[in-house]
Amino acid sequence: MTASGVSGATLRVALAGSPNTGKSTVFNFLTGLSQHVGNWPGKTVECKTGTCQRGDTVFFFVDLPGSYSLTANSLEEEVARDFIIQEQPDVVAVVVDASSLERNLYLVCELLELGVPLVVILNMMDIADGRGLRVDPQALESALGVPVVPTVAARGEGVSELLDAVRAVGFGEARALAPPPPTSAAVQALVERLDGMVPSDLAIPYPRRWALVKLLEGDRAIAGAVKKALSTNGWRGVNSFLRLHDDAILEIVGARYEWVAKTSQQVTHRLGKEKVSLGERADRILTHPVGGVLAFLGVVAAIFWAMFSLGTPVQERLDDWLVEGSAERLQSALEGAPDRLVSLLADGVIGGAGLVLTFVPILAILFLALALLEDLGYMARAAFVMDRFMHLIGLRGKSFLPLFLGFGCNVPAILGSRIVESRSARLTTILVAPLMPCAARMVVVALFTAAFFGRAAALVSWSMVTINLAVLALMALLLSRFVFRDEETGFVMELPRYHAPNWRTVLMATWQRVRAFVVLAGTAILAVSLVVWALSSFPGNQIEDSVLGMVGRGLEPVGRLLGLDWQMIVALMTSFVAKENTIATLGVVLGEGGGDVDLSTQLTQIMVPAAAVAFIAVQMLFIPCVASVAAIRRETQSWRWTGFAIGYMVVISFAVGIIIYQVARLMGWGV
Amino acid sequence: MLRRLLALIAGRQGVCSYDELARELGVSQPLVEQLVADLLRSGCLRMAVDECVVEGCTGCPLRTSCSLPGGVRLWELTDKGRRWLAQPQGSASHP
Repeated sequence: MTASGVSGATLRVALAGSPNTGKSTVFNFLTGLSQHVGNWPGKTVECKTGTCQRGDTVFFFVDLPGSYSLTANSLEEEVARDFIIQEQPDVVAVVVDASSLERNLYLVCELLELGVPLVVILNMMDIADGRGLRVDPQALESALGVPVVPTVAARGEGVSELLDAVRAVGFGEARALAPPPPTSAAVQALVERLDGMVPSDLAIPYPRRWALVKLLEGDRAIAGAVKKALSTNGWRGVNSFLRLHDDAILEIVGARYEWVAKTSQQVTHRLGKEKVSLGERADRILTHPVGGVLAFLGVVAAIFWAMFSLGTPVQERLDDWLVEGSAERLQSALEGAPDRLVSLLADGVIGGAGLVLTFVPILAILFLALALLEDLGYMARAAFVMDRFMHLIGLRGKSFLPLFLGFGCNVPAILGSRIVESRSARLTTILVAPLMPCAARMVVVALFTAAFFGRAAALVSWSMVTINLAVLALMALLLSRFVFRDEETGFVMELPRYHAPNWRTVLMATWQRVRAFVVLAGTAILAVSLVVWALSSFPGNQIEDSVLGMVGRGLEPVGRLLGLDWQMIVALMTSFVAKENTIATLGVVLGEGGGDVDLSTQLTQIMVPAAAVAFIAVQMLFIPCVASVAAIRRETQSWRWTGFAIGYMVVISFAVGIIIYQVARLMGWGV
Repeated sequence: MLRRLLALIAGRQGVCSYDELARELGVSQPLVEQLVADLLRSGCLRMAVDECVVEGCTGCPLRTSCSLPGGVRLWELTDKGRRWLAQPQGSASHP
């Protein structure tokens, strides 16, 4: 049954609209219990229909799938479009969200172009009011040339007026057709030329001129229908024309958006000051070129504060219980056993790998903070502002994403550089990625800063990270200015919305990272601890006479420039396997003669604060772990570049360390 | 407007957000999201980061040490986008 121009008939009304406009609310309110739910014929898309009556008119509503346009980008949009065009309902009622008018007017624009009997439902007026927006329905009606009905469907407001408007349009009592938004002369000329290429009796189930415009927009479904209706040669000519003018979509779609923006601005007024959401307010600071970087540095500082104020006391307790307590218990349990065996277990296993494990609380805080910030949506903002910083230092485009990975571990940062297409930019990224302060290095920093700087530990750690980033910036700048030169390109980043953290996700991510660290301590670090113990125990009874002692003393001249003993240089060398081995090695080497004194105290006895801060700097900038070096070789496919990376890091780390040591001595830290 | 957006992206140095583009175009952020979606569909923009880096974390052996910010989507201009941008405005102007 269709409207026949007389009262008492049934009107078929298609309810169209973009997703999240309250279309279903309108439909539910109108049809209530009289709904029927099924599938569209031959499709897996849900089809909802329902009726309602007002006076002697029955309204048969078809709730179309949500669609942003009449271009069939999805099955839902194809279903909605085909119903409107092929089933020709008496009225198309399109729901638009008054609080997001610009996003919804595109579909209205296309429906006006199509020339269907149209009623616009201006829904969510209350939400718009709440956001300080006043959309003028009369002004919109004048701009569109079709009836506009303001509604708050959730409360049933405006629904009666809506039915009256639908009825008036359905029975031809109100204006329903408006002239379509103007198209440019260039597009009109293209449509004319295309019109001349297509036979006048083309058998397609779409309005001819509308279909020609859609062809120029690159609509595949329309192209398929036209291809089917044309001869092979006919289609070849049309297709060549379309390929030649494939940029026509920019003009056609762009003109619609211009109309949408203009119309929206004409009919929307702001009531008082713009209401800004909490997330938008946060973004104004967190993504600001200067404020964002300062906020990022503040966040890093806060993480360090938490690591030291909360994690260090727990680490010290664990050290007492796990390392010193276990060693004592072991020695009493193995009383009478060979000294070498007791030393192997107490110094090699417990003093090495066991000591590294005591840093789990500090690392857990770091991992928890990273996971929490990621889940909140902050890390994406941090990456965004980091890009600004990296741009200043000559890194281009996508480099910032892999480099950001380096905060966790340098290996994925190096492997992730493969997303950078340009070889020169990729090489720069690979070569500077190991300078990102990874979590393993932070463990070593935590040990030394807590031992030497007490309450200022967080500040010293933060300064060390800043020095690393400054060196990274300098290297990137030098490489991009003098070695690699690349084109600059623009990118668009979609930032995720802020949301309350999902603690399950956060804790799972933290647990996975902590578990990986424990596994590392139980495998690679344990193995190196045992090797270091063996090298420090043979030959002879004194560590100074051992292989390790001899090697260490050979390297001692280098250490003197930094105020470091041979044990420190040996510890640094073993960090090549994994950064945490620095602690394990010191635990083994110093533990053998340390008696009941803990490692932190022993460190303060063998070096001055100036040497400690120099050692941290060297450790932070030194050759990355062997896994990172292997990753550099794999990604560069070059031993030359791998050698360059190792070489420049050795030179820079010692140069910075020596400078820091000398400056720190001048500041009075050398006593 | 699509051409203006393309020109804005092409002219940028580094990353820009929807919010910045919206301010420069004088439209709302949701409209920019829609414009970007249209440019993606037409092949003028493409995802700049491999999906394996952004989305395929489940099977990644590096996931335990990875701190890539979740939810980041990065789009870049394609050759097609650059070509279209280089063509004079008004597509009927070329043969």
